[in-house]
Amino acid sequence: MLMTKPEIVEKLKEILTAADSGNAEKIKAADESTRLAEDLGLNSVNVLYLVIAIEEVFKIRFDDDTGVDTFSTVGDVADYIGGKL
Amino acid sequence: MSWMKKQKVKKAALFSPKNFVIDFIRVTGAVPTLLWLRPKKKYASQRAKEKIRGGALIIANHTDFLDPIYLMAAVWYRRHHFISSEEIMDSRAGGFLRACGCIKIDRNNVTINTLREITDRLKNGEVVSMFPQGRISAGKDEDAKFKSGMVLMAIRSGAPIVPIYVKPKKSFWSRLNVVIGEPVSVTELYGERPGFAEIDAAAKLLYEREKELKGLSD
Repeated sequence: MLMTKPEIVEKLKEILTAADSGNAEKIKAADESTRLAEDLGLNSVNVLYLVIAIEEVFKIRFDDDTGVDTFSTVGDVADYIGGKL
Repeated sequence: MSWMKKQKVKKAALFSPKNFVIDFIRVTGAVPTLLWLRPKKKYASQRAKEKIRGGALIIANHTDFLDPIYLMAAVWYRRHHFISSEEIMDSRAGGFLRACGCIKIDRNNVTINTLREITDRLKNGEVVSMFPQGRISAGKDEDAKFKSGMVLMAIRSGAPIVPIYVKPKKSFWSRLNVVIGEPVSVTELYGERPGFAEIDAAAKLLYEREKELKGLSD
Protein backbone atom coordinates (compact mmCIF):
# COMPACT_ATOMS: atom_id res chain seq x y z
CA MET A 1 0.00 0.00 0.00
CA LEU A 2 1.67 3.18 -1.19
CA MET A 3 0.51 6.40 0.36
CA THR A 4 1.83 9.92 0.17
CA LYS A 5 2.74 11.74 3.36
CA PRO A 6 -0.30 14.07 3.21
CA GLU A 7 -2.56 11.00 2.80
CA ILE A 8 -0.96 9.38 5.85
CA VAL A 9 -1.43 12.60 7.85
CA GLU A 10 -5.12 12.71 6.86
CA LYS A 11 -5.58 9.08 7.92
CA LEU A 12 -3.85 9.84 11.22
CA LYS A 13 -6.22 12.74 11.78
CA GLU A 14 -9.17 10.39 11.17
CA ILE A 15 -7.84 7.98 13.81
CA LEU A 16 -7.28 10.82 16.26
CA THR A 17 -10.73 12.32 15.66
CA ALA A 18 -12.39 8.94 16.28
CA ALA A 19 -10.46 8.59 19.54
CA ASP A 20 -10.72 12.15 20.76
CA SER A 21 -13.91 13.65 19.34
CA GLY A 22 -13.89 16.44 21.94
CA ASN A 23 -10.70 17.77 20.38
CA ALA A 24 -11.93 17.58 16.76
CA GLU A 25 -11.26 21.26 15.92
CA LYS A 26 -7.61 21.10 16.96
CA ILE A 27 -7.12 17.81 15.13
CA LYS A 28 -8.73 19.19 11.97
CA ALA A 29 -6.33 22.12 11.98
CA ALA A 30 -3.30 19.89 12.61
CA ASP A 31 -0.49 19.49 10.09
CA GLU A 32 2.87 17.75 9.99
CA SER A 33 4.44 20.19 12.43
CA THR A 34 1.72 19.82 15.05
CA ARG A 35 3.18 18.51 18.28
CA LEU A 36 1.44 15.50 19.83
CA ALA A 37 1.83 16.45 23.48
CA GLU A 38 1.99 20.22 23.49
CA ASP A 39 -0.52 21.04 20.72
CA LEU A 40 -2.90 18.06 20.78
CA GLY A 41 -2.57 17.36 24.49
CA LEU A 42 -1.81 13.66 24.08
CA ASN A 43 -0.45 11.90 27.15
CA SER A 44 1.62 8.69 27.19
CA VAL A 45 -1.45 6.42 27.21
CA ASN A 46 -2.96 8.34 24.29
CA VAL A 47 0.24 7.88 22.28
CA LEU A 48 0.25 4.11 22.97
CA TYR A 49 -3.41 3.98 21.94
CA LEU A 50 -2.48 5.77 18.73
CA VAL A 51 0.36 3.29 18.06
CA ILE A 52 -1.99 0.31 18.46
CA ALA A 53 -4.66 1.89 16.26
CA ILE A 54 -2.06 2.70 13.57
CA GLU A 55 -0.86 -0.91 13.56
CA GLU A 56 -4.43 -2.02 12.93
CA VAL A 57 -5.35 0.55 10.31
CA PHE A 58 -2.08 0.62 8.34
CA LYS A 59 -1.32 -3.09 8.84
CA ILE A 60 2.21 -2.40 10.07
CA ARG A 61 4.12 -3.46 13.16
CA PHE A 62 6.01 -0.91 15.20
CA ASP A 63 9.52 -1.80 16.39
CA ASP A 64 9.61 -3.23 19.92
CA ASP A 65 11.49 -0.25 21.31
CA THR A 66 8.94 2.27 20.06
CA GLY A 67 8.04 4.31 23.12
CA VAL A 68 5.85 7.23 23.96
CA ASP A 69 8.85 9.53 23.47
CA THR A 70 9.70 8.22 19.99
CA PHE A 71 7.48 10.73 18.22
CA SER A 72 7.06 14.39 18.95
CA THR A 73 5.05 15.63 15.94
CA VAL A 74 2.38 14.32 13.59
CA GLY A 75 5.02 14.47 10.82
CA ASP A 76 7.33 12.13 12.81
CA VAL A 77 4.56 9.54 13.01
CA ALA A 78 3.74 9.94 9.30
CA ASP A 79 7.41 9.51 8.35
CA TYR A 80 7.66 6.36 10.45
CA ILE A 81 4.50 4.89 8.90
CA GLY A 82 5.74 5.84 5.42
CA GLY A 83 8.97 3.95 6.08
CA LYS A 84 7.04 0.83 7.07
CA LEU A 85 4.55 0.78 4.18
CA MET B 1 -10.88 -1.41 14.85
CA SER B 2 -10.87 -5.10 15.62
CA TRP B 3 -8.04 -4.81 18.17
CA MET B 4 -10.63 -3.49 20.59
CA LYS B 5 -12.75 -6.62 20.43
CA LYS B 6 -13.04 -8.67 23.56
CA GLN B 7 -10.68 -11.62 23.50
CA LYS B 8 -11.61 -15.03 24.77
CA VAL B 9 -9.41 -15.65 27.80
CA LYS B 10 -7.91 -19.04 28.45
CA LYS B 11 -6.41 -20.83 31.42
CA ALA B 12 -2.75 -20.25 32.27
CA ALA B 13 -0.39 -23.22 31.96
CA LEU B 14 -0.38 -25.21 35.21
CA PHE B 15 3.33 -25.86 34.93
CA SER B 16 6.01 -24.25 32.82
CA PRO B 17 9.81 -24.27 33.35
CA LYS B 18 9.67 -20.49 32.88
CA ASN B 19 7.62 -20.25 36.05
CA PHE B 20 9.83 -22.58 38.12
CA VAL B 21 11.19 -19.88 40.46
CA ILE B 22 7.87 -18.24 41.20
CA ASP B 23 6.13 -21.60 41.64
CA PHE B 24 8.90 -22.79 43.97
CA ILE B 25 8.48 -19.64 46.08
CA ARG B 26 4.72 -20.02 46.11
CA VAL B 27 4.88 -23.63 47.26
CA THR B 28 7.62 -23.28 49.86
CA GLY B 29 6.56 -19.86 51.08
CA ALA B 30 2.83 -20.47 51.32
CA VAL B 31 2.66 -21.85 54.86
CA PRO B 32 5.08 -19.39 56.57
CA THR B 33 3.53 -16.44 54.72
CA LEU B 34 -0.03 -17.40 55.59
CA LEU B 35 0.98 -17.98 59.23
CA TRP B 36 2.68 -14.57 59.31
CA LEU B 37 -0.08 -12.60 57.57
CA ARG B 38 -3.19 -14.60 58.56
CA PRO B 39 -5.08 -12.77 55.76
CA LYS B 40 -8.56 -11.56 56.60
CA LYS B 41 -10.52 -11.08 53.42
CA LYS B 42 -13.67 -9.07 52.82
CA TYR B 43 -15.57 -8.97 49.58
CA ALA B 44 -17.42 -6.06 48.00
CA SER B 45 -20.25 -8.35 46.87
CA GLN B 46 -21.24 -11.94 46.29
CA ARG B 47 -19.80 -11.72 42.76
CA ALA B 48 -16.44 -10.58 44.14
CA LYS B 49 -16.26 -13.87 46.09
CA GLU B 50 -15.97 -15.87 42.89
CA LYS B 51 -12.45 -17.10 42.23
CA ILE B 52 -10.48 -15.23 39.58
CA ARG B 53 -10.22 -17.49 36.56
CA GLY B 54 -8.40 -16.91 33.30
CA GLY B 55 -6.55 -13.73 32.41
CA ALA B 56 -7.11 -10.86 34.81
CA LEU B 57 -5.45 -7.59 35.71
CA ILE B 58 -5.31 -7.16 39.47
CA ILE B 59 -4.86 -3.60 40.69
CA ALA B 60 -4.29 -2.39 44.21
CA ASN B 61 -3.31 0.60 46.29
CA HIS B 62 0.41 0.79 47.09
CA THR B 63 1.45 1.90 50.55
CA ASP B 64 4.15 -0.63 51.41
CA PHE B 65 7.03 -2.22 49.52
CA LEU B 66 5.70 -5.60 50.70
CA ASP B 67 2.38 -5.08 48.88
CA PRO B 68 3.24 -7.65 46.18
CA ILE B 69 3.56 -10.32 48.91
CA TYR B 70 0.25 -9.18 50.42
CA LEU B 71 -1.47 -9.47 47.05
CA MET B 72 -0.01 -12.92 46.52
CA ALA B 73 -1.36 -13.94 49.93
CA ALA B 74 -4.78 -12.43 49.16
CA VAL B 75 -5.12 -14.23 45.83
CA TRP B 76 -2.91 -17.20 46.71
CA TYR B 77 -4.40 -19.59 44.17
CA ARG B 78 -3.09 -17.64 41.14
CA ARG B 79 0.43 -16.97 39.88
CA HIS B 80 1.00 -13.20 39.75
CA HIS B 81 3.17 -11.37 37.24
CA PHE B 82 3.91 -7.97 38.73
CA ILE B 83 4.59 -4.91 36.65
CA SER B 84 7.71 -3.40 38.13
CA SER B 85 9.51 -0.14 37.48
CA GLU B 86 12.77 0.04 35.56
CA GLU B 87 14.65 1.31 38.63
CA ILE B 88 13.79 -1.82 40.61
CA MET B 89 14.26 -4.23 37.70
CA ASP B 90 17.70 -2.75 36.94
CA SER B 91 18.80 -3.03 40.58
CA ARG B 92 20.58 -6.02 42.16
CA ALA B 93 17.22 -7.68 42.73
CA GLY B 94 16.40 -7.46 39.01
CA GLY B 95 17.56 -10.96 38.05
CA PHE B 96 15.53 -12.53 40.84
CA LEU B 97 12.45 -10.47 39.98
CA ARG B 98 12.73 -11.39 36.29
CA ALA B 99 12.91 -15.07 37.30
CA CYS B 100 9.76 -14.45 39.33
CA GLY B 101 7.98 -13.34 36.17
CA CYS B 102 7.94 -9.61 36.87
CA ILE B 103 7.46 -7.36 33.85
CA LYS B 104 9.75 -4.36 33.50
CA ILE B 105 8.18 -1.02 32.65
CA ASP B 106 9.93 2.26 31.94
CA ARG B 107 7.51 4.70 33.54
CA ASN B 108 8.95 7.68 31.68
CA ASN B 109 8.87 6.08 28.24
CA VAL B 110 6.54 3.08 28.09
CA THR B 111 7.32 1.02 24.99
CA ILE B 112 4.97 -0.89 22.75
CA ASN B 113 6.93 -4.04 23.61
CA THR B 114 5.97 -3.73 27.29
CA LEU B 115 2.33 -3.36 26.35
CA ARG B 116 2.58 -6.39 24.05
CA GLU B 117 4.17 -8.51 26.80
CA ILE B 118 1.43 -7.60 29.29
CA THR B 119 -1.44 -8.19 26.87
CA ASP B 120 0.09 -11.49 25.68
CA ARG B 121 0.22 -12.75 29.26
CA LEU B 122 -3.37 -11.68 29.87
CA LYS B 123 -4.53 -13.33 26.64
CA ASN B 124 -2.71 -16.50 27.72
CA GLY B 125 -4.90 -16.64 30.81
CA GLU B 126 -2.33 -15.33 33.28
CA VAL B 127 -2.75 -12.83 36.09
CA VAL B 128 -0.88 -9.54 35.80
CA SER B 129 -0.81 -7.45 38.97
CA MET B 130 0.02 -3.80 39.21
CA PHE B 131 -0.22 -0.69 41.31
CA PRO B 132 -1.84 1.98 39.13
CA GLN B 133 -0.69 4.83 41.35
CA GLY B 134 2.71 4.07 39.87
CA ARG B 135 4.68 4.28 43.10
CA ILE B 136 4.37 3.81 46.84
CA SER B 137 1.70 6.29 47.87
CA ALA B 138 1.53 6.41 51.64
CA GLY B 139 0.45 9.08 54.13
CA LYS B 140 -0.81 12.25 52.43
CA ASP B 141 -0.25 10.61 49.03
CA GLU B 142 -2.37 7.57 49.88
CA ASP B 143 -5.24 8.73 47.68
CA ALA B 144 -3.05 9.55 44.64
CA LYS B 145 -4.96 9.21 41.36
CA PHE B 146 -4.69 6.13 39.17
CA LYS B 147 -2.83 6.26 35.87
CA SER B 148 -4.91 5.06 32.94
CA GLY B 149 -2.43 2.65 31.31
CA MET B 150 -4.15 -0.33 32.96
CA VAL B 151 -7.33 0.47 31.00
CA LEU B 152 -5.48 0.23 27.69
CA MET B 153 -4.07 -3.17 28.74
CA ALA B 154 -7.56 -4.39 29.64
CA ILE B 155 -9.08 -3.19 26.36
CA ARG B 156 -6.31 -4.70 24.27
CA SER B 157 -6.52 -8.09 26.03
CA GLY B 158 -10.23 -8.21 26.88
CA ALA B 159 -9.26 -9.21 30.44
CA PRO B 160 -11.24 -7.91 33.42
CA ILE B 161 -9.69 -5.62 36.03
CA VAL B 162 -10.03 -6.76 39.64
CA PRO B 163 -9.58 -3.97 42.21
CA ILE B 164 -8.21 -4.94 45.62
CA TYR B 165 -7.67 -2.73 48.63
CA VAL B 166 -4.81 -3.66 50.95
CA LYS B 167 -5.24 -2.04 54.34
CA PRO B 168 -1.89 -0.67 55.55
CA LYS B 169 -0.59 -2.94 58.32
CA LYS B 170 -0.05 -1.38 61.75
CA SER B 171 2.99 -3.50 62.49
CA PHE B 172 5.03 -6.22 60.84
CA TRP B 173 3.22 -8.94 62.83
CA SER B 174 -0.32 -7.60 62.56
CA ARG B 175 -2.91 -9.42 60.44
CA LEU B 176 -3.35 -8.60 56.80
CA ASN B 177 -6.72 -7.09 55.87
CA VAL B 178 -7.76 -6.94 52.25
CA VAL B 179 -10.99 -6.11 50.46
CA ILE B 180 -11.57 -7.73 47.09
CA GLY B 181 -13.81 -5.97 44.60
CA GLU B 182 -15.91 -7.15 41.70
CA PRO B 183 -14.15 -7.63 38.36
CA VAL B 184 -14.68 -4.70 36.00
CA SER B 185 -14.90 -5.34 32.26
CA VAL B 186 -13.94 -2.12 30.49
CA THR B 187 -15.23 -3.33 27.11
CA GLU B 188 -18.64 -4.19 28.60
CA LEU B 189 -18.89 -0.76 30.23
CA TYR B 190 -17.50 1.45 27.51
CA GLY B 191 -17.88 -0.60 24.35
CA GLU B 192 -15.30 -2.14 22.09
CA ARG B 193 -14.06 1.18 20.72
CA PRO B 194 -13.61 3.50 23.68
CA GLY B 195 -11.94 6.85 23.02
CA PHE B 196 -9.57 8.84 25.20
CA ALA B 197 -12.43 10.26 27.29
CA GLU B 198 -13.80 6.78 28.03
CA ILE B 199 -10.34 5.50 28.98
CA ASP B 200 -9.99 8.35 31.48
CA ALA B 201 -13.53 7.67 32.74
CA ALA B 202 -12.69 3.98 33.28
CA ALA B 203 -9.56 4.90 35.27
CA LYS B 204 -11.66 7.27 37.38
CA LEU B 205 -14.32 4.60 37.93
CA LEU B 206 -11.70 2.12 39.13
CA TYR B 207 -10.29 4.76 41.45
CA GLU B 208 -13.76 5.31 42.90
CA ARG B 209 -14.22 1.53 43.30
CA GLU B 210 -10.92 1.40 45.17
CA LYS B 211 -12.14 4.16 47.51
CA GLU B 212 -15.34 2.18 48.13
CA LEU B 213 -13.23 -0.88 49.01
CA LYS B 214 -11.22 1.27 51.40
CA GLY B 215 -14.49 2.27 53.06
CA LEU B 216 -15.39 -1.39 53.48
CA SER B 217 -12.06 -2.18 55.15
CA ASP B 218 -12.97 -0.34 58.38
